[in-house]
This record gives sequence, structure tokens and C-alpha cells, in this order.
Amino acid sequence: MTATTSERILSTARKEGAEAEVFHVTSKQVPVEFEDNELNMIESSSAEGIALRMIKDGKMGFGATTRTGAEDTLVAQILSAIPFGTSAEFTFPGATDYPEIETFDPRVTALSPDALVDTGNKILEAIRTHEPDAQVNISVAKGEGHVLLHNTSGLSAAREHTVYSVFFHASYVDDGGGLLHIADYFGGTHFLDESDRVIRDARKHLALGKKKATIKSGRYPVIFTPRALSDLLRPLLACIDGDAVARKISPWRERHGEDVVDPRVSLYDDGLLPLGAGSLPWDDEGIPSQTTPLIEKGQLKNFLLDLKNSARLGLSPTGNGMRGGLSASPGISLSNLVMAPGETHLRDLFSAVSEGLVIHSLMGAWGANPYGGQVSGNVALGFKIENGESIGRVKDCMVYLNAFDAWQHQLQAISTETEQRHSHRLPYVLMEGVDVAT
Amino acid sequence: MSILDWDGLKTHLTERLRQAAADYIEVRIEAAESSSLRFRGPKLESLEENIGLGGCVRALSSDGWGFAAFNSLDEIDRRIDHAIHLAELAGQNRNRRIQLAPVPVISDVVRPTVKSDPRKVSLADKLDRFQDYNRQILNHREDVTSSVVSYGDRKSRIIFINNEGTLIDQVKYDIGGALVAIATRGADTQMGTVPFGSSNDYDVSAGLEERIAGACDTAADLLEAPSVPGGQYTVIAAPQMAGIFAHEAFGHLSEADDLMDNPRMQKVMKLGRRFGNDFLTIYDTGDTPGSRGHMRYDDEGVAATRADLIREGVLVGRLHSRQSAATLNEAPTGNARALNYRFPPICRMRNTRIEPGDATLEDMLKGIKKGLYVITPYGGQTDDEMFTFMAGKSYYIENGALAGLVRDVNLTGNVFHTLNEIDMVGREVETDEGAGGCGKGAQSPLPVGNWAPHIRINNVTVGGQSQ
Repeated sequence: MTATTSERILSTARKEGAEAEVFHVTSKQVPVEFEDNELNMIESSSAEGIALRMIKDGKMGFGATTRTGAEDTLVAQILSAIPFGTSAEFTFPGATDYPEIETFDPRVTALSPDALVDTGNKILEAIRTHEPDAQVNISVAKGEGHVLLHNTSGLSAAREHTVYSVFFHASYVDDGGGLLHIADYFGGTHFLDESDRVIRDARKHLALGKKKATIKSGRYPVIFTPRALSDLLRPLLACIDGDAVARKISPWRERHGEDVVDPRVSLYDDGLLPLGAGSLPWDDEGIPSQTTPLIEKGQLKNFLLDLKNSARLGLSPTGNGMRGGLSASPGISLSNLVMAPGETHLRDLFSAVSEGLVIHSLMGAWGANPYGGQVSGNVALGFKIENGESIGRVKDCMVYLNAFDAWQHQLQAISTETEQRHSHRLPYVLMEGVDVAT
Repeated sequence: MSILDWDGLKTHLTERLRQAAADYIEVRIEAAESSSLRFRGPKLESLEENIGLGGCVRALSSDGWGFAAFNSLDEIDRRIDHAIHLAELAGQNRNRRIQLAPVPVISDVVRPTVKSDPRKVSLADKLDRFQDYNRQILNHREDVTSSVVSYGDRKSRIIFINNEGTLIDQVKYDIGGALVAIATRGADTQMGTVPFGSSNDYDVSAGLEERIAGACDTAADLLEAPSVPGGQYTVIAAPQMAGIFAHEAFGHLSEADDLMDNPRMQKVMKLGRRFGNDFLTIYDTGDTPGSRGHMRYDDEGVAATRADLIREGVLVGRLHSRQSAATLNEAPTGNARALNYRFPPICRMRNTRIEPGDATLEDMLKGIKKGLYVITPYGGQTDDEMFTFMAGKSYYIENGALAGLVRDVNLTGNVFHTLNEIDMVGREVETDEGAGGCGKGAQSPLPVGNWAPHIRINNVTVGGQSQ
């Protein structure tokens, strides 16, 4: 498949009296996988395909294929399905200017499989020297993607990006058969080696995780680390999703401009975040990426929008029309999620807690109903804090809070420190009066 | 799917793999056609067609694995060489041996007996059926204000060839969907869901009107229900919840690839260890035509036989790939599955079941002072020791009787204690072939089935506000 394939499809569409959009992706990935303390597998995969949207007589059809030569069959299938299709609520955007943003790092593509193996070995050895009984899994991967987007409105755009990522997981089985899991990751569009941080944190958490602590059922102050914070933000983000707003499901649909959370909270979707794994010059529908304030000083500022929902709501798209894969139609998705830092140093966040928890990860806390705000999850990795110090791991307990109440009434402090991992840049957050059940 | 020269491909690959300089090498080629549709609220939200083709090579050489996936079949020969090269590179960086359990060489063509072929149903007919369901939800009652009605089907043809002489040509179907009623009042939103799924019958999506009415009422009734207070409860899990429980609490822990090179975990998971009472038997099988977890062979070309995990309370087996079976010196079970050609096979569940016992719901309710009856699942998660499973429709139990709906029920347990807390197993098994599937690593959603009777579990921790 080449650019001429796209041209051919567009010209077929015009002949049929249809508008069309061709999204063409080629990508390569080289992950090296360490399992149970040894390199297990080296992979090298390539992928290519097109996704096609067509609009005819006010109806839209969608299809995708990874089979070279099947493009004409796909066009015919879509044209025959179009009369049954969804109502076309928008037209494809025309050519426009895009922001300048670096998303391709030649240092990533130049990495050899050996270099990826070396990074994995370095982390593995540093952990195993410290804790010989740990079981370590690591995935070090490089990838690149090239996207061409053409449509009958005159848009013809190309973009390329690289991704470098390291996922780390260690487990430790104690003498009673209990399991301790430590996980971490880093990466983004550019080559960035944070293995020293991963090693330092993992050693600390392994040592602390082997110490057992207990907590009685009750209400406690709880510090959520940047990695655990996304469970607490999910209900807010669900309400900001333009699709839930357009379908009148979001409880915040009529609260634009109102105070929805504590005035210390500011939250952004930032498609232009330097090094952010979700940074791109334009989204998967050809809309320029931007920095969108979602909540500023507690006030609801914007909803996340793709083409369809911006048309439904009569608002401008925010560059959040993303495809979950080649064979999925575009829908609303975050680019990079950024929360503004607070005014309390991390050490002061801890010293404010005389008895409570610091939670690094929750399990099963994705509610089936985010609009209700309930966040209820098992503390997969969390430590008891006594007098400002983490003293040991608590397990077999559940925490529960309502995210809307928590972000409005239970927020005690946000750290000045933020951490950037992949597509998130988030601080530590201290909530008071969190329900803990054991 | 006729435009491919499958016979030519088989001949070429058989010859090519026979000559390949690898200790073991396999190729999978997968061609698939799929369609999906989704209504949200009154509108048709998406209608998607997909034509897929791709393949992968997995090679073992010098005790290392190499893997390469691709879309263009023109690349096959180059990818075979490359996978072998990557395997050797991996082998240079490791010490442990890799062995594969010997399995019979198989030459087979598998074509499922399809009761009702979704690929032969016209788009107009499918839309009619699901449009009707969607209208039913939206017209059912005033407080049901929105809906999500989704349906998808997929037909794939997969050839598997390895250098031991196995050549399997399988056609598979996966059919599934979910009909969701959404009730709202002010900022409050609750849901009721009718999931369905099959590997051979489009008509599992027929005649769901009664279940839809039930789901609408559940969603609306949950608006009135109080949140469950956090604490410890005796829990009766209805079959769908018991199925999720077996899947999360024990199925994942039984995946032997996570165990095979973990000596400390092997001690914990020693065959013969008692996990539950005599009446608890849990097994996993591919031999269930119609189930979304049905398969004759797994993605290593191994017969997908029954694997007993817990028999009469005692750990007796696990879910194996050829490598995990050889490493632990146990028999292969045919549990190596790959989501699709983009992934290597790993140990996964197929259709996981709890054997029925002899208790009735009445027996189970007797003697419970404070408990919960959890009926419809929203999903679950595990870290192999602790697990959670979340319920939609649930009732309080007070002094042996049902006492009103509750909501926001998220239960947690610890596999090393909770299985032992099961003190009753019900008589009647129900099937859960719901839409979606199982996730492990990046490979999600993989079609699986969970079949179980009611079970009663003591001392379950439930998240919620303090009492």
C-alpha cells in the first residue's frame, strides 16, 4: 500500500459521489522480553494497514484492512453498508497549519536489539544483587510509526513518531506464600534512560514491602502517588469526555465554567507535552494538537472533543480524536494528562500524616459506573505511614472514596513534585478521611 | 477468504520450515473478516467492517526465542530468517535451557459445526434485531434514559505449521455482544447488562427480550439502592459471579508460564496442596463446542484437553504451554493461546468451570446473619494472590433472607485463604459467555467462558464506607 493507493481510493470515492478519508499506518516494533530473571524473547514486528471512512447521502461508513490488495473489496463493502450507516454529523477537515513538535527521535530507531538487551540486563542485575529471590520481568522496546492522512476535503498530511519504553515488574514470594509485586515504567517519544530511578525505587519498595504492617478498618489520610492517581481521576475525566456530554450522561454536562472541584486543582490535556508518549502534531482525524485546560483552579473549562462530538455540541474540536487501533473508528481519548503541581513538598505531605497510607497501586478500582464517582479498590501496593514514615506494607484491604466528594472536600495537599511517565505528568496527592476496610 | 492461495502457502511453508536452521520453528497465518455495530442512546454509533491478514514466526534456537509478526505475506521468507536470528541473539544472553514437551504430530482440518452463521446474515437483518433491542431498552421505563447495544462477529481461518510436521488448518468464529440499559437520576447513573456470546451460533443473540426487561429494571432499581457499607460479609455468589471468581481467584494463578521459572512460587503451588473443601473442583477445558473458549487445538498445535486444577479441594494441575509442561515435567494441556498473529502464545484459560455440588440457594441462605447475594458481574482483576470482583446487582442478606438491593459492591479476597472459605457449592451450573474477554499483558480481550453453580464464601472483605 502506498500514497497512490490512497489517491486511488479517494478518486473512486469522488466518482461514487462520496467523501472519503484514508488513514494509512506503517509501524515497526522491537521489544526484548526478560522473564523470570532472564532474557526470554526478542521480537521484531512490522504492521501496515489502512482505515477508511466514507460519507455518502448523509451517512457514514467505516472499514479497515491489513490485507494488501483488498482495498477495492473494502471500498465496495463500505459503499454497500453506507445506506445502513451512521448519520454523518460532520465533514472531513481541510488542510491547515500544524504546530511544530518533535516526536521522532533518531536515537530511538538507531538502538540495536543488543542495546535494548543491555538496558534490561542493567536493571535486572541491580535488582537481583540487592534481592536474589526477586523474580524480575522487564520489557524494553523501541518503536516507530508513520501515518499518512488524506481526505476529499484537500487534507494531505504525514507524521512520524518514535516510542521508547521500559516496563519493569518484580515479584517476591515470602515464606508464608504471600506475593509482593513492584511495577514501574518509563519512556516517551524520545530516548530517555530512567533506569537508575526505577532501580532505586524498586529496591526501596522491595525492602519496605517485606515488612508487614496492619491497619484497622476506619477513615485515614491517604497519599496517592502519581501512578495511583489515575484511578482517582477516572470519574472526573469520564465527566469531561465530550461523548458523555453530548449523550447527556455526564453529570457535568451543564456545569461549564462552574467550580467543580477544589480550587487548587488544575488539569490539562496536553497534546504538545515535550517527550510525552501521547504528543503528536495532529490527532487521528487531522485536527491540530493543542494544550486544553480541562479544569483550572477548580473550574470546569473544556470538554474533550473529537470531530463528531464537537459538531454535536457546536464547539471546536480539541484534537482528541484518536483511534484505539487500526480497525476502530476514531473516538475521544486523552493525549497526555497533566496535573499542575501544588505547594507542599513531598516530605511535608508525609509528615502531615500521623497514621495513614501511601498507595502506589490499586487493583480492580475501575468502576463500572464512573459517573457515580465511586472508587473502590484493593490496595495492591501500599504502605502504612506512622508519624510521617512508611513503616511496612498493608495488604488484603480495600479503600473506598467518592472521587467527586474527595476532589471537592477531602483534598488536603498536592505536592510541588510531579513525575512524568509515558503520557502522564502528575503530582502526589494527600486525601483525608478515606475509608479503609480490612 | 478465497483470494489467498492457501494450498500453495502450506506447501511452501512446510518445505521452508523443514529446511530452517532452528531447533523449533512455527508459523501462523491468519485471515479474518469481522463486522461490528454499536448503538448508543437512540443513535447508531458505529458500523465497522474489517478485513485482516497477517502472520507470525516463532523460532527457538540456542535456547532463546525469536518472534516476528508481519502483515505482508511477501515478507514471510525474510521474517523466518529474522526470527531465527533473533532467537540466536536471545540465546546468547541467557543460561537456562528451553525444552518443549513432546506432543503428537497433527495433520488436521477443523471446520466448526455452525448452528447459525453470522457471516451469512445480512447487515439489514442484524441491524433490525439490535435496533429492536435498543428501542426496547429506551422505551422500557422512564428512568432508563440511555443504552449501549453492541454486537460483533468474527470469522477467521488460521493455519499453523511447525517443523515437527504439524499442520493444522482451523476456521473459528467468535460472536458476542452486550445490551446495556442505563438509568439516570440527577448525577446518579446505574446500569443493567445482558451479555451474550458463542463460537458457533448467531442466534444466541435472539429472544433476549425478557432478559433485557430484567436488565432495565435492575438499572432503575439500583438508583434506589443504598451503597454497601465496607466490611466483612458472608457472600453467596450467583453462577456468573462464581465464574468470575474461579477465573480471577484461581484460573490466572494456574497459568504455568508464570510459575515455571519461579522456584519460590513452585513451593507455594506444589501439587497436592489443599486449597479448599472436598466438594470444590475447578477445571478448564477447550472441549466445549459453542463456548467462546472452545477450541480443538491451541496456538501451539496441541489438543486442548481438560485440565483439572483443583480436584476435591486439592491442587492437581495447571494450565500449560509446551515449554511450561516440559520445565515442570508435567503433561501439556493445550492452554497456549495468542490473541492473534501479532502475539506469541502464552498460558491462558479457555472455558473455566466449577463442578456442581448439592446445595440449593435455600440451603445457602440458611444461617447467614449478615451477608450479600451478588448476582451480575462487572468484572474482576488479580495479582495472582489477591483478587477483586465487582458486582452490579446485589442483595443484602439478613437473618437468612434477602433484604433489599445494594450497590457499589466490590469484593476482595486472597486465594490462599478465600477458596478455603467456600463452604457450599450449588447444584445447577449456568454458563457465562459474555462479551469482552480476558486480559493478560497486552493480549486482551481473549474469548473465554466461565461456567459455574452458586457458591457460598465466608469472610469476604467488601470495599465501602465505614459502618
